[in-house]
This record gives sequence, structure tokens and C-alpha cells, in this order.
Amino acid sequence: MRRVIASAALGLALVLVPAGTALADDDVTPLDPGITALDPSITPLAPSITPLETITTEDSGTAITLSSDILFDFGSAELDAPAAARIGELVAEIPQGAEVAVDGHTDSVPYARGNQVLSEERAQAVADAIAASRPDLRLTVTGYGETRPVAAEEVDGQDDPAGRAQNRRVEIRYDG
Amino acid sequence: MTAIDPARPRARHLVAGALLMGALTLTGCQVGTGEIGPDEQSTSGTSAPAGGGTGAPSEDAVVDEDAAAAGVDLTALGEPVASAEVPAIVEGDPTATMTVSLHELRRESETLVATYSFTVHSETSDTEAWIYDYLGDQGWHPYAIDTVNLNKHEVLGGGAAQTDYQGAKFRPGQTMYAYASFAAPPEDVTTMDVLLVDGAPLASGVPIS
Repeated sequence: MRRVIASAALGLALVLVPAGTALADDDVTPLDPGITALDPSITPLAPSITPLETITTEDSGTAITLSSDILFDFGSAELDAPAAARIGELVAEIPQGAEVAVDGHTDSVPYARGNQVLSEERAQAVADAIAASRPDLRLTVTGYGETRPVAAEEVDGQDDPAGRAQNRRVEIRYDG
Repeated sequence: MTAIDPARPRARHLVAGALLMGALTLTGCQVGTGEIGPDEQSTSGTSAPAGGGTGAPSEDAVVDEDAAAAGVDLTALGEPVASAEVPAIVEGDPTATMTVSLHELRRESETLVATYSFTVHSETSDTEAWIYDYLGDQGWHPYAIDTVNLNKHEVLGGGAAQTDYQGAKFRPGQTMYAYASFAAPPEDVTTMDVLLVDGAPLASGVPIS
């Protein structure tokens, strides 16, 4: 009770400071240290859902980055029909006859058949889906294995699965 | 009904405590553990002999109470809908493996709750460890794929809404149950592909119950 009264008194004192009187920062006492906002404890659902593609446009051209976790099973380079169809939709707007690079990448976790092989196979699978819907495009297919990560796979010495997931990808790049 | 190995009361007590802690710290996703032999998990049948003295609750009763406190009904889990066996890191046993099973993928309004179990198989070791240890100092980060809309659903809260892979320890031969919560896909999506554990194929076409 005493604390409440003291706080109220302090609040009153602050209110009664004549207009135009500047208060130094050290003179200002926060009145609400006991109030905790509720919203930090509420977790929105949407950020936990990652779409198949991320599209970025820069001066050097456009890059469509596809998540390998969504496209492929572990160690697989097989695309199912919905995934192939979606890739066809994503490349529909690429200029007629454009040169397109299809680059496969993996994370650094060792894989029995080799990350280099897997990245090449996955890039080729995506290229096949592109060619099926856009035979006019000139495709260059390359696998880079784990050599070109876009995210760190360890943070403070701890495994970072989100970083590894970002590195498992196939990129479609073209001018325009 | 779950069968219990009464020879390991200390470990049972440990996992019970972890279970309760999980129930208190996680909202909508609880931890469940029980000492269930690898060949006995998710089966119905006869209970093992009760431990403790006269008047003490049976091991079965204790486990069932713990599970209920955590919102886990071990008797209703049923057979796994998918399982994978991966190498397990167990000191002194290079042949150790771990069976990771997915028991159900349940829609609860806007979220999905997946129930997993982990059982380590070792011929030589009886040392308790975390999932993190058995995976070779790697975390457990399950996810689900909506193959209709081509979206990846990761554990809610940046990975917080799942059983802590450095929470409860368990021994080879015991089974640890774990939960993970994801955002639910649209209502017309009735199956998802689900990652059981890194390094294993996705469980494809898991029905959403």
C-alpha cells in the first residue's frame, strides 16, 4: 500500500512540474516497471510456414530460390507432379528464349552418394520441369554441392538447422 | 495399457519429473515418457508386475497418471503410422540404433500436434542420455510438408513448441515420447509428409486425424 501511494505521489509530482521546465533523463522514473506486455507470449502461426519459393530481383537479374526440403525427400532428386507443375508456373513469366541458370546446392551434412552428385541431380530435375513447360528457354544446369552456402550452419558453436535448411536449395537465375 | 520394466525405478522417476516439467512449461504440447520395452510400445495387453510395496501405486498407474497430467494418453496412441531406424551414438556400441516413430498427426483447430516416440537399441549400454546425445550432438527439429500447397511447416514459436531434446534422459530399451506443434494447413489438406528425424526419409502421406 505504501508503495502504491509513493508511486502515486511521484506521478503527481511529475504532473505538477511547471510547463516549460525541462527534466533531465535521470530525473524521470518509469512508472510501469511491473507491467508486462502480453503480446510477446503470443506466437503467430504464419511465420512458421515457409513457401516453396523466394523470388529476389537485383540489377544482375532475377533469382527464384526453391526449398529442397519441400521439393525433395531426403537423398532424393525426384519431383512429384504438383511440384513440377508449380515450377512451370514460376517460370511462366521468364522472357522468351532467355538464358536461365539452374543451380543446385546442399547443406554440409555428409551424404552417402555425395552432396555434389545430389546437387547436380536436383538441379537437373528442376531443369527438366522447366523444359517441360518452357522448351524455349536455354538452360545451364550446375550442381555446387555444399560449396556456396547462403547461411551459417552453426551459431555460437551450436548446430543451426534453419541455416542448413536455407542452404538446401535450387536456384533459377535469369536476366530480367 | 503400457508395460513397464520395474527394474529401473530411478529412471522412471526421472522421466516422470521431466514429463511434469514439460507439461508446465509448454502450452498445448506436452512431454510424455514411459519405460516401455521396444517391442511393447504402443501395444495393448498385459501390464508388467507392479513395483513398490503394498499400497504403493503400480508402475502402470504412475505412468498413466504422469501421462494424463501431461495430456498424453499412451493407451490411445495406437500403432505408429511411420517409423525410421537411424544410427544412435552410444558410447562403446558402434552398432546402436534408434527407432523414431510417428504415432499421429492431429489437427487441433489452427494447429497440428504430432506425437513421436524414440527407442534406442543397444546390446551393451544401459547409460541414459538425451535425444541430442543419441543424434550425435544434433538437435531434433521435425517439420511437416504440405504437398498440396507446397509449404514447409516448422515447429511453432521458432522451435519452442516441441519436446526439449535436451530435456529428459532415457536409456536404451526405454521409450521416450515427444510432441511437436505446427501451424495447421488449410482444411482441404488431409495428409502431410512429416520429417521423423534428420537423415531419414520423410514419412509420406501421413493422414491428419
